[in-house]
Amino acid sequence: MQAPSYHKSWIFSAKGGCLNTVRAITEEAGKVCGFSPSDIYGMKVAVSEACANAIEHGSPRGASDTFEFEITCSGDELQIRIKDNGIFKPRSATEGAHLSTRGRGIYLMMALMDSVKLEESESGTMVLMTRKKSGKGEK
Amino acid sequence: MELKVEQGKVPVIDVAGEIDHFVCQQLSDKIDELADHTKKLLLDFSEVSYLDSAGVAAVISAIQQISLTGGHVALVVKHADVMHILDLVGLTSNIEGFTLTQDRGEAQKRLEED
Repeated sequence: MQAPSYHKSWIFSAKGGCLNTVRAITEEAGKVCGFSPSDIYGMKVAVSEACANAIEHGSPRGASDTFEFEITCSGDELQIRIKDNGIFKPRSATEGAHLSTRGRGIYLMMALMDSVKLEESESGTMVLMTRKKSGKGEK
Repeated sequence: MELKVEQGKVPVIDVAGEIDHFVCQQLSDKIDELADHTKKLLLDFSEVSYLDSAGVAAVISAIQQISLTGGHVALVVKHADVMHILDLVGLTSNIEGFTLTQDRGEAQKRLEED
């Protein structure tokens, strides 16, 4: 089995300020793995959305909670794993017949990544997202 | 994110940098504040390099409060990746009372005409 060309993991406090950092890490990993700038941009949005959700809904104890963030690039695929302590709460992008201001985070994650999996357990939610270099979103 | 408000016949919210969940409340608050007093609003995101669903929510909130009540919102976006996000969520389609453009001059013209 081929060794990953990039593999790092972090534990973040559940504070909004870490969103900048997760985007910077994703950019670094994407560059190391040879993704195009527009692919990297899409992955940054997906990662930032998932982490914002982990902070907002996956951290029942607030800023004293933490979440795990792991990014691995192997071959032509980049994989991101985010594990928090709560329940993922996707919202609908409509409220009845009206546009809702919320609910587009999960939609953007799915639109910008090749796969998005949510695994819920008693200990929290794990979001697993993958993106291939030849995947969607090529412009 | 840096945010500047220009008051005038058509108020302008000029934003630069990255709009994410962590910083977006400041923009949303400013939109809410202005929407109480104006029927026209120019959002200048020319210098915005990053936008996620929180920024999208702020734009939709401006449309709901101003465009859907007979006013007009114009949004200026130059960064191609930011435009791609707006496209994915449907904001590049025709919405009454909402103009999306890469040119601030055109945005101002549309607001003055309306």
